[in-house]
Amino acid sequence: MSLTTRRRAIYTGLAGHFAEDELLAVLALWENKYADKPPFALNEFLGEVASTTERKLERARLYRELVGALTGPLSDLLPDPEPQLRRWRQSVGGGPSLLSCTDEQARHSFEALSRALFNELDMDLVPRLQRFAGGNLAAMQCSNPQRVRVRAWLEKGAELEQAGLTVEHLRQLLNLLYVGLCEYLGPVIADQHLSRAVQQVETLHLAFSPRKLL
Amino acid sequence: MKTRLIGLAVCGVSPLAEAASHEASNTAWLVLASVLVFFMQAGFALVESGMSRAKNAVNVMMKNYMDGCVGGITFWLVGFGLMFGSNITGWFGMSHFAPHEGEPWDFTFLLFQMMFAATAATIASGAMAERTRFSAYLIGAVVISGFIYPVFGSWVWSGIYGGQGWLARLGFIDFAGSTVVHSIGAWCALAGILVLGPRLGRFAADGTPRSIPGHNLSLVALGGFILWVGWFGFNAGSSLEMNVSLGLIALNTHLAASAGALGAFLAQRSTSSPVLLTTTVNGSLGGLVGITAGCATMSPLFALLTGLVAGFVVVFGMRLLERWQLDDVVGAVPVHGFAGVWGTLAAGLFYSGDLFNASRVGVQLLGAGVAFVWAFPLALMLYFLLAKTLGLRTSTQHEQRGLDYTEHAEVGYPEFNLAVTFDANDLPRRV
Repeated sequence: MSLTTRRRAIYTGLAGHFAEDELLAVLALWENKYADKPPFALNEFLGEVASTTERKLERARLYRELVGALTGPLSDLLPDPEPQLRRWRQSVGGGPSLLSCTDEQARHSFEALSRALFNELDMDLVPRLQRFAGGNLAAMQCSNPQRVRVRAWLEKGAELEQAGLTVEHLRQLLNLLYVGLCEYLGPVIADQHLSRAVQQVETLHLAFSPRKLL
Repeated sequence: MKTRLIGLAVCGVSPLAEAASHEASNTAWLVLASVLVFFMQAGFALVESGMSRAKNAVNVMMKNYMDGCVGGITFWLVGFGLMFGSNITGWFGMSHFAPHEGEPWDFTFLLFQMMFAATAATIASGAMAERTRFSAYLIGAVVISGFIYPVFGSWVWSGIYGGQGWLARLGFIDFAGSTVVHSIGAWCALAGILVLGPRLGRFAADGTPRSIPGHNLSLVALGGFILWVGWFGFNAGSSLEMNVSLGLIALNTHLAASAGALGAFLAQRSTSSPVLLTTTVNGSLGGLVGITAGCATMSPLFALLTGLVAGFVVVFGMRLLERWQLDDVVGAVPVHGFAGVWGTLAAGLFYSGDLFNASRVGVQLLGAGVAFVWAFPLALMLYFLLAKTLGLRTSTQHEQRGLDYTEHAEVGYPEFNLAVTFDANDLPRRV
C-alpha cells in the first residue's frame, strides 16, 4: 500500500476524533514515526497520541476505525491531506509540539549524511549518482512540487529545506542514492560507503540520529 | 519327541520371525537414512547462509528451516498421494492422501520420502536468496513439495500402491533422484531467479558480474561436509532395505563427491582462476547430485568419472549463468540442474553390464528433458503469479537494510561490527 493511501486511511480514521489543527499534528506524528511500521504499531501510535495530547481517547474504537480504514475500500477514504499537512508544517515552523523527532532535524541529519556520502566518492561519480537519483524520483512517494525541489537539490545544489520532506521521504531518497551506489560500485562497496558515512555523521551527535534515516 | 517338536517349531516359526526381523532391520535403516537426509537440510542452510551477506543470514536460515516444515506437511497432505498413490494412468497417484492408517512400513516409507520432498523444495532458497519475500517464498515451497515435485516423481517412482509411472515404464533410471529431486528443484530455482531478477548491483550496466562474497566461508565448508554425510543416507537409503548393495552405493557416492571437488579444482586451474572454496564445495555437491541417479547401477570407476565431469559442469555452468546475467546466489542451478542432467545421462551411459546403450541413453535424455518441460514453466507461472499478487521481491529499501531486519526483526550477529545499513536501535520496537 502506498504512503499516500496509508495517509488517507489514517486521516479518515482520525477525522471524527480531532479538530482539524490537532488532527494534522497527529497525522504528522504518524507520518514521522509510524508510517513505515507494521499495522500493530498503531497501538503504540495511539498511546503516544494519548500521552502527548493528554486526551482521554477511546483507543480501542479508534484502533478499530484506523484498521478498518486501512483495510477497507479506497472509495471510502477522504482525499489525501498532504497539501493541508504541508501548509500546517509551514505554519508551525520548527517546533510543533507533537513531533518528537522533527522533519527539520531529520533533514539536517540527511544533509550531513549525504555530504559525508558524497565526500566518500570519487569526484566524477557524485554527479552521476545525483543524476541517477534524479532520474528515479518517481520511486519516491511524494508530490510533484516536492520532486521538483529534490531534483533541484540533486542537480543544482538548491536548498532541500523548501521541499518539505518527511522522515519517510528522506529515507526513500537515501535509498535511491544507495541503489545508485549499488549500480555504479556494486552492493559490497555501497554498503561500506554507507556505513562509513553513517559513522562519520554519528560523531556529530546531531539531534536526529542518521541511523533513523536507514 | 521333544527334539522333533523343537524342529517343527524352528521350521514353522523361523521364516516368519526372520521376515519380521528383516522388516525391523529395514525400518531401522530407513529411519536412520531419513534422519541423514533431514540433516541435509542443515547442510543446505549452512551453505546458503554462508554464501549470503551477514545482513541476510537469518533470513536464509529461516527459509531452510521453514520450507522443510511447510513442505513436509504439504507432502504428507497431498504430495505423497500424488507421488506414490495408486497410479493407474501413469501420470499421478490417486490414493494415500494425508495417510494416518497403514502398515508400519507405510509410515517408514512416508517418512523417508517426506525428507526428499523437503530437499526438492529447499533448492530454490539458495538461488533466490537475499531479495525474496519470506511469505511468498514459503508459498512457492508449498506448491513445489505438494504438486510440482510429486507429480513428476509419480512418473518415475510410483508403484508401491499399484500402477507405474510412464517414465518408469520406458526404463528411465533415477535411483535416488538426480532428476526427480535435484533437477526439478533446480528448474524451479531457475524460474525463481528469472522472475526475481538479480540483486541490486550484481551486474554492472555493461553486464560485467560483480562478486558479492558470502559472509562466512567456514559455514559453507561445514555445510558441504554435512551435505556429503547426509547424501550417504540419501543414496544408500533409496535402496529401501538393508542389502549387500549398500556398500557399492555409498562408495560410489563418496568417490563421485571427491571427484566432483577435484573436477571443480581442475576446471578452475585450467582457466587460470583462483581455486575458490565456494566453487570447490559446489563441485563436490555437483558430484553428489551427478551420482545420485546411477549410484546403484554403475561401477566405482564410472562413478568417479561421473563426479569428475560434474565438477567441470558446475564450474562452467556457474559462468554460463553469470554470462546470462542470472543471479543464482549459491550456484543451485548448475549444481542441482546441470549436474543433475549430466548424472541422469551418466546413469544411462555407464549402466553396469550394458555400457553406452543408445536406447537407454535416449530414455534418460527424454526423462531429463521432460523434467525441465514440466517444472520450469509451472514454476515460472507460480513465481510470476506470486510476484503480481503477494509480491515476490522485496523493496530496494529492504534490500539495503537486509532481510534479517526487515523480514524477521532479528540480526544474525548482534555483537559484530556489521555494515550500517539499518537502524539497529529500532529492532526492539519491530519485534
